[in-house]
Amino acid sequence: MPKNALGIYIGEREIICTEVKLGGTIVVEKLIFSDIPEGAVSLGVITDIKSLAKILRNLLEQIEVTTDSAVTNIPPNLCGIKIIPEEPGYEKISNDQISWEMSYHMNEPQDELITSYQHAENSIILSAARKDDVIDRGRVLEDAGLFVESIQPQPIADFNLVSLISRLQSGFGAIVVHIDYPYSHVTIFDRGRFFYGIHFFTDIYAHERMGETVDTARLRNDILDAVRVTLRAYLKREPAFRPTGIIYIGKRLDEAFRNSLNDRLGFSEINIEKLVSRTMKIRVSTTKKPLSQLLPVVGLSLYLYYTK
Amino acid sequence: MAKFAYINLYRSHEQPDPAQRASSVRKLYTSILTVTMILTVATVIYFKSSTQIIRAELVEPSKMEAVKRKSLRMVISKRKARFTRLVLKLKALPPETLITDGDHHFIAVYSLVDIGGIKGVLDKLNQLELSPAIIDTQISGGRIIVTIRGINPPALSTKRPAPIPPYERTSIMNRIDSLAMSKGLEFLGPRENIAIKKDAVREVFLYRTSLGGSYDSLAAFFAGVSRLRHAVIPEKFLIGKKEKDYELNVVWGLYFFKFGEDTTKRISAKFFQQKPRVLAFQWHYNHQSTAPNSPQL
Repeated sequence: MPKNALGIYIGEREIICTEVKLGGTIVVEKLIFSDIPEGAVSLGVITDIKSLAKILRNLLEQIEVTTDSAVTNIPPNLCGIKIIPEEPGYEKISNDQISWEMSYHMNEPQDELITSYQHAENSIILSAARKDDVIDRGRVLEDAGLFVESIQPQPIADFNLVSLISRLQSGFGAIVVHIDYPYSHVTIFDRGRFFYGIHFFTDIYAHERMGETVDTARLRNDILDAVRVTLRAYLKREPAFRPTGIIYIGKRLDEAFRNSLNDRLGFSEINIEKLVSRTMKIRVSTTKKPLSQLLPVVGLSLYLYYTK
Repeated sequence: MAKFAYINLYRSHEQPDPAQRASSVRKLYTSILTVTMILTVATVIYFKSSTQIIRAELVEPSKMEAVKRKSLRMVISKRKARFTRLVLKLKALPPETLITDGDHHFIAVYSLVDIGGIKGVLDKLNQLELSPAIIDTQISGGRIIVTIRGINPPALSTKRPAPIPPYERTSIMNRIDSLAMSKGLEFLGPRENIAIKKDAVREVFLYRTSLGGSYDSLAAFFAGVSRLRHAVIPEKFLIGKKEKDYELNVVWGLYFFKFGEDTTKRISAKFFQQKPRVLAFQWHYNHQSTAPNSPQL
């Protein structure tokens, strides 16, 4: 039986909410978004839970959601993601050991972290974030009357999204560039394998000009560097990796700007609209909120598609 | 590596408060509920009207009047007010003997010096809206004894008396006694427990008290009892003049009922209809009543 889930994206300047029907075909049924007061979220950290919860509740009432199961994000600058090769006996690793290891990666005391991990084919994905940051995000949703099924690092949600929209293509590999403010990040999807590269600060001037035909050298260089570093790191592990192309999600970049990036990187851009049209139905208008910005929010709700 | 990453840093511990949940999904359910209610009401109205049309065509309308049914608490409240008002009204013209069954009839006996006084009594009682009618006259000891039957009209009362559970009976009886003492009445005998009547919805404890004193004191005593918030009413009483003072014989009923069951109005109406009329007469002249359903005195 199809079930519905809410994907709630809490960004620096806006909240985006989608309701997605998770049946045989994924259907994006509802979309609403709103600006949030300046300073309510500061570099990803929630500073005004009440006003955010109020805004979110109003949004939910406007679109008349039919479920309270929600998944929200935590931005890459507030969480650590570490992929370590699996060693013999490492699958018996305890939560304490993971927490201990992540405390060093995150440079935070062990008891102030929330950790999660997943055993994969030949590696383990470790993730952690500060307790306060995670719980504050949870409280925003709970105060708005929602049941939080998961708070996911945004790169994880991006991976799940690409995994879904590429499921009809065999041997699919992509470099996924998620442009967001204040931090963007790069991940790799290699035939169902996940690799997290780096996140980088997105220039404020570039952010304000995004969507316009303004080429900012600084943003371009940042993106190029991030992709190159990520790719180089992954090729050390998987020398045979040959990406099908590059995917841009998040804030929409100008086409000329994207072409410029593609030329310099030597990859072609994957037509994401084509992939999406084969695997999911979008029943909401994408005129005000482009598809590239809608998809990461849908990616959050996919957690429930796979787990329930 | 798996094609799905199920990294999860947080999950709500509890389902959200229903009130909060309702706020997020209420519009949908409110809409559904509203539509359902409209459809239900429309269906009921349609079937009711169509049924009435068919009935009107097929069956003659019943000539029996609909019985107005009242709740037990309301009946008790009104009876309480009615008794008290009768006694207070008659302060203007105290009879030699006053008997009532607790319903709307009463009998008052006046001893007059001459026959011309009868008109004055009738006028006064009419003025008091008691609808007097002479049922007997006789001459005794050089005085004219006039027996008048009157009607005590229904009284309005919005008070909601509280039931008296069995364990509170003694304290209520003591309270009534102390009220009588405070009004200057004299006890002519000990309290006498008469009976306990029970049915599905109530339990009535009946007891008898005999008091003596002036009519004004008796009226003040009744007024005081009527102000009690408990469900206590004089089931029947006899006031008779003995030399200078009056003697009161009253059977009090202490009602105990459960609030939830108080709405069985049909039983309430029947209960009061079963009562024998002018029972006081019988225990004045014949202390062992033979009337059906009457308490054994």
